[in-house]
Amino acid sequence: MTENFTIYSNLEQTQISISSKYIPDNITTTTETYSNSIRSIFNMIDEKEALEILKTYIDKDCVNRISNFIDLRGLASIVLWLINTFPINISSISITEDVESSQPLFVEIRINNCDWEEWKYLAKYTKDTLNREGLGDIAGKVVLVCNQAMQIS
Amino acid sequence: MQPSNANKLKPHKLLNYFESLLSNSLDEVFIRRIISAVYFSLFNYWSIKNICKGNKGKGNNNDSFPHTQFIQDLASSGLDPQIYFLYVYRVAVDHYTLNPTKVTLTSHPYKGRTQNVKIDENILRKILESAKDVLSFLDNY
Repeated sequence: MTENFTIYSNLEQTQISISSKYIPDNITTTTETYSNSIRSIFNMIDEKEALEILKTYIDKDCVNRISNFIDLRGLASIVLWLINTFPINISSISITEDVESSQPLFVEIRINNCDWEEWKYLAKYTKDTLNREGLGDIAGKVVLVCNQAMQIS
Repeated sequence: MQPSNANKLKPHKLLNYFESLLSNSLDEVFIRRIISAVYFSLFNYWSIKNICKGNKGKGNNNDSFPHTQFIQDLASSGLDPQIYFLYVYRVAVDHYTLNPTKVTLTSHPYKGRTQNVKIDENILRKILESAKDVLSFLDNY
C-alpha cells in the first residue's frame, strides 16, 4: 500500500509516494486519514490512540504534565502529520517550563536531520497549517526544536 | 495615564547598536548582558503592542504581561527556532554561571531535558539574527 505525500526536502516541494510501512502500526488507516491535513488525523484518533502514538516519544514521567497542558489528540496529530509529511524523524517530546515561575511554556518536539533554514521552514509551515485548519489553540503550545541546528559554534 | 505609543519601545536602534559591536572581541560579560537585553527589549515591545491593541495585562495599570504569553504568541506564528534560541540563551546567560554549560528546561531537574549551550560571539550573532526575525513579526503585530 502506498499513499501520496508532499515532501519538502532541501526546501523544495516534491510529490512522492511513501510506503505504508512509514505509518505507525497501531493506527487504523484509511486513504482519507493520510491526506495532507492535521485536522483529518485529529478527527480520526481518540485519546487512547493518541497516548499510544506519543508513548514512543515521551518519557512516562512526563506524560501527566504534558496532558495537563495540551490536548494529547492534537499533539499526536501533529506528530503523525510531521513524520508522514517531511523526511525527518522525531527523537523525543518533552515539556519546557519557565525557570522563574515553573509554569509550562511549551511542548518540545525534538526533530533530527534539518539545518537552521529547514527548521525555520518546517516551523512556519506547520504553524500555518495548524492555524489554517482551526487548531491555532495548540500552535502556540508546541515548539519544534531541531537538535542539529541548536549546535552552533 | 498617558496614551501608549509603541514607538517609544521600538528596539530597532538598540539591536543595530549591538550589531555594530560584533567583531570587537567582546568579553563574556558583554555578550551575556547583550543577550539578556535583546530578549527583554523584544518582550517590552511585544507588551506595548498588546496595550496598543487594547489587551489588558495585570497590575494597577494593566501593563504587566506574562512572558509565557509572549513565547506562545511567537510560537503560534511559526517563529519556533527564533524564540527557542532566544529563550534558551536568555536563561543560560541570566541563570547559569559556567560556560559552556547545560541548561535544564523543566522545574524537575532530575527529569528534565537539557540543552548544551556555549556563550560566545557566534551565538550572539545568531541571537541578533533571530531577534530581527522576531522584530519583523512584532512590527506588524
